[in-house]
Amino acid sequence: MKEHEPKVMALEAYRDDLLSAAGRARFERHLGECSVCTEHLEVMDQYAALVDEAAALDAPEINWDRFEARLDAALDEVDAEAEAPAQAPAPRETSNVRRLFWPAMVAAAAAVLFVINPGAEQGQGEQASTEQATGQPPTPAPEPEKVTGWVTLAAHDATVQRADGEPEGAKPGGPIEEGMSLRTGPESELHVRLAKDTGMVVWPDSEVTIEGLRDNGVRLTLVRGTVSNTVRKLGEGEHYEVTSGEYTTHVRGTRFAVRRIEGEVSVALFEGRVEITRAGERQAILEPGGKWTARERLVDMTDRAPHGMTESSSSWPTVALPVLPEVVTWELGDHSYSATGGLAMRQPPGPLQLGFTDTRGTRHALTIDVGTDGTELSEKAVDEVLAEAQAAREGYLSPEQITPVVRSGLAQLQRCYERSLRRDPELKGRLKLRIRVAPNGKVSRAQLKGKLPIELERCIESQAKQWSFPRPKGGPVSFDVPLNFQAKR
Amino acid sequence: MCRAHHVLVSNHSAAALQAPFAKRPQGAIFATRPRSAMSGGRTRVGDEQELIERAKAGDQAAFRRLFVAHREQVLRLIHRLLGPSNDVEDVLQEVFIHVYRSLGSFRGEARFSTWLYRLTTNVVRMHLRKGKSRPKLVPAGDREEVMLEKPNTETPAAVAERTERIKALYRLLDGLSEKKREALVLHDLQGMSAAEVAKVADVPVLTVRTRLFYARKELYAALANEPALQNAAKSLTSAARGKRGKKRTAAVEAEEAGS
Repeated sequence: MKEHEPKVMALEAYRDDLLSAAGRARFERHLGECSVCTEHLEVMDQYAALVDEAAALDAPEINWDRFEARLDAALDEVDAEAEAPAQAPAPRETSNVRRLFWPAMVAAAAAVLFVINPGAEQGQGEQASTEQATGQPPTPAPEPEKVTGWVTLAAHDATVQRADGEPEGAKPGGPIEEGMSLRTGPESELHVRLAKDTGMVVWPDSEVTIEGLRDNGVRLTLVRGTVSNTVRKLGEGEHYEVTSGEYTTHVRGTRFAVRRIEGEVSVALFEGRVEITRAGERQAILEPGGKWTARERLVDMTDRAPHGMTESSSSWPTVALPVLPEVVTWELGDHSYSATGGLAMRQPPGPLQLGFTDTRGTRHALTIDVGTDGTELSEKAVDEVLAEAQAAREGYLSPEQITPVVRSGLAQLQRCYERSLRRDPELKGRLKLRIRVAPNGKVSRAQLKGKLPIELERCIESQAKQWSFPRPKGGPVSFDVPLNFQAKR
Repeated sequence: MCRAHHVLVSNHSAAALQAPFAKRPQGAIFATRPRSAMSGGRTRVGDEQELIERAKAGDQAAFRRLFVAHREQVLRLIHRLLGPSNDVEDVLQEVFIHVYRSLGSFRGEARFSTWLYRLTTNVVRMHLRKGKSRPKLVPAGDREEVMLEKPNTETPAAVAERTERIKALYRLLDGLSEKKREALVLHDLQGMSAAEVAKVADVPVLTVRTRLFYARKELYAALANEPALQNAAKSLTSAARGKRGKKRTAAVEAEEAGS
């Protein structure tokens, strides 16, 4: 038996089919006598298998919205560093800051003031609200009493912060009072009941400050993001204001949303009437369904009503939807919430219908029985729904199970191609081979999608039907194998 | 003598095969993003050049479009270069900060994607040097990694075993010199041709081939000293028995055989 240092280059040439037929035959005779060489070939195979496996691994998924917000903040620092040696610090918006993208990070100087007075006649209303906009209440009134609202739904990592305190995770039932700041991250959301039949949805990536929460009205500051407001018909002297900088919007309606993206303020009205002014000058009057923006681009905003606005919602039990590995989004009513953080809400006792989307993008329905003491959805309940759905859907084969079979079968397809080349030496083409694997692992259907001579198609299809895969989990599986036939010199 | 090779090329990358099963939710931003120049959008090179010029002049929208067009490729490259790591997102951010800072120095002598790849490999190299991201392996049972990478019915045990094998492979890669490691990862794992690797590394193709040869030779020797990893790899090779495994996509092999 010959023992020697393995010649890696020769082994690679053999392994990669780069030897001539005679050279290959000679080499194989040598292999028969050389255990070192065969062992080395095995190591090469092992390396190739490890590399194939690592190369097949997907990169981790990135939450691009969150990433962009983070990157934007980092680029701000880069800008700040670049500007530091220059003149005295200029206001951000007037410097040559490349504020890049994302609504989350944008806090331009634009501002909005909404004054709602739906109970007044139009003319009176305009006058009254203009007065309010200039900071003069229409009628002097005794100091109104502070009132307390409460959180009706908290998704993910929404926080509530008192003026003198630290941010705390928002929880259903948690009190909302004057002076608090409400913040949401890229995936979180907060629904708040502020007063009777009155409340708001703080959308993801938003910040709202409760400037005033009294028995005669509500004053909010929208720092960034979007807030949807639902306001009951107000009585005389009552007000509901959403304030930010240079725009003043007088709302005589009851359902409206305002959003700030990249410094642009947009308003959408769903019910009632809205007047938008800037420094006291009218910019627009909106009718239901109307939209307005400070610049050219209109932003679509959907009409959203806060969860649990009724008086009794304060005594409702809490339903908690924890983070579960299979759930990507929760769907409540006509809105979906990211399930990467917990979702909790006040809910009346009884059955609660909700939906969720799993990691494959499939939507499922689920009913929870809400007890008087509240409920936390169990992973088991979700698993049961998924198991049921699994039984009725396509099965699964991993790429690791498919790839080796397809690869080893390519040699057969190559022979089909070579036979056809005898008829047409220029034959080439790209196509897809659609494979359906039956639950027993056999190929139940092999069909080409593309144009090739019929005899080649038949040859390929019949060869592919002989492939044998591991038994798929859960049912039959279909997938495409892209093929590219080309004569290469 | 020049012999004609008739080659059947299959692009059956794992991603392509996985596509039918792994539907990932995508936001609207993806639906409208411009096609990447690297993913075959050759007709858009002019558009990209214009975007680059606009971004250099401070056009934020243009910079964002470049970012959106290239972020996935950069992410994949970092993932390949680092291996299983929790630092991928940090490095990705670092790369785009560098792009932001140095875009002005891009003179268009190479394709933008080549410049970006070169910048990415440099950032990753610096990161590895700092020792921040020696393949730190995610503790077994890390729920997020398992979920995100395999949203399917694969058992947690199988996922954990695979993660261990990949970590072990990267430990071997870490034994190589920086240059050899980069050449090997770009070529064998990222699937780039030797010519493409040469452009990214800014060295002659022959140098890349030499690096690849010695890198593999060292790895074979290192692997032969890791019986546990060999055993783990054997279970993979037995599945692929019958064909001497190619190291990369058949397309790249065919290209090189042809050249």
